[in-house]
Amino acid sequence: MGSIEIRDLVKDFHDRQGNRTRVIDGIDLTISGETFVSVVGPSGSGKTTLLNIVSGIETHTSGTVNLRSADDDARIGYVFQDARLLPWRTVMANLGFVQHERAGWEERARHYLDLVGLSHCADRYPAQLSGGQQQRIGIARAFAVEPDVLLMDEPFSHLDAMTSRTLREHLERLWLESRRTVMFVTHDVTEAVQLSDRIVVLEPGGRIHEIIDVDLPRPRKASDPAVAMLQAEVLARFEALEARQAVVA
Amino acid sequence: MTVTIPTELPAWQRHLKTQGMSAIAVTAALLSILAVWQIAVLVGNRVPSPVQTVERLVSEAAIGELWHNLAISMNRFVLGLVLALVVGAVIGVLMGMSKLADLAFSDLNAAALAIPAVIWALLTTMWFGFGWLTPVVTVFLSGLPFVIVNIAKATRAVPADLVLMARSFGVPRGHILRHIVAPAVAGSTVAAVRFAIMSAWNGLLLAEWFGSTSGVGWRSRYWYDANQLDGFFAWVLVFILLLVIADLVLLGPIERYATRWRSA
Repeated sequence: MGSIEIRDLVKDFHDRQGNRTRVIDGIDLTISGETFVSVVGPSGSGKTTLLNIVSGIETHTSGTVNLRSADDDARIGYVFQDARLLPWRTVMANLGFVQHERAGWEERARHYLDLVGLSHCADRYPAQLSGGQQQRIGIARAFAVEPDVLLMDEPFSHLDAMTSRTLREHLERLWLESRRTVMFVTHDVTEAVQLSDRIVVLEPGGRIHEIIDVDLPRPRKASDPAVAMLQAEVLARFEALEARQAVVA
Repeated sequence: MTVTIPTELPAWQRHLKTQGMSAIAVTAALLSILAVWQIAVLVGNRVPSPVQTVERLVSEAAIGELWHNLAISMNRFVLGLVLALVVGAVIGVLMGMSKLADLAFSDLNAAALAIPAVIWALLTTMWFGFGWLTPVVTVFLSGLPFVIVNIAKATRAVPADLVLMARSFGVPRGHILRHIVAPAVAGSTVAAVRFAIMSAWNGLLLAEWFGSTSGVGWRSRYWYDANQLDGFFAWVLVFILLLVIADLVLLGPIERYATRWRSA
């Protein structure tokens, strides 16, 4: 199973005039195998940039990011805010595409489609599916590559409350079955408490504010008193952070 | 008052209805063309009638000129067009993906777009004389700029979020080109082929007119020089029919196939 090691990570953006904006400022973080870690923080705290650097989509200014796996090459799965399915390929072909059609891909694709309850949609095109169904396909696609590290960027933020609640349950079930190493970016504290083993709270400027361990039994329901209590506590801390930032600003 | 919302027709009835509408539209278009032609015969000066024109075509077929010249022209046309498509696709994709390639080729291509087919036909006749190279190169040069401009535009419009998605999963570059870039530009490629066919077919006719001793263009000139309008019209009709048939029978279905996911 894979793990993520981030050491003294810095990311600067430069505008056309050469002015520097630091969006990640010296992050140290280790996400060990079989752990579900959420990264929360207000807008501008560098959550998505951090995820993109870990995936290799974006470069970083300094520091190191290591993805470790049993094999030489760590496999990454990514779930985006929108499903990002190829509209000209069927659901099944979409799942095959990211696996580069490596041996056994069809079997894996069918297995994960079945787990998200969409095996009957295998031959449909994305345009024939609802937004929630497309996102479920996006999740199945990421699990089907059997990744060492699974990265998720606010995957439920574009969905209505009912659909996102159902998808959270799907996601937790998939994770319990596969125990992948997950880095999950969200702005929704409720979501983070329900799904995570640890919550990393970022503050504006791209620094780690605190790390909260979530030691609650699974599977969890948002309505469980223990979950609700921790949600309220984390939310209060989050609001205190925002209030302090507002005073500083 | 009670209003009943009509239920949707079954698929076979919808298909039949669409087919029926298409047949009516084609018949109406043909009838209007024939009517305008007949009016031109009545009011115009030396305009051969549809019947005279078809009779001339039949006689051309009987003496072996129709199929022989048609086959020669098609041969030259397909060769030139395939070359234009291959070279145009490579340059177009390069221009769409690389700023440097875009800077290197965009002005040159804009200039080539502005050159009419007749200029290419005259130039190639002067360069290559009477032979197969003149029409083939004219077809190539007339079609190429349209292929380049359409494919470059389509490549620039390839969804960047899909490319990023593929990269984040570590999909190899060749796979991205084949499964994202190629399908994304497929619809525009058909449009490119359409424009290229129009321009290249004009080029072919002119090149054969000026610099050949066989083919559709040469045979049209033969009747023009003989001052026989029915013969000239018959070959113009062949020229137009080929374009229409290529569009209806080949390009339409190919375009529908390439973009079938849009209407899924």
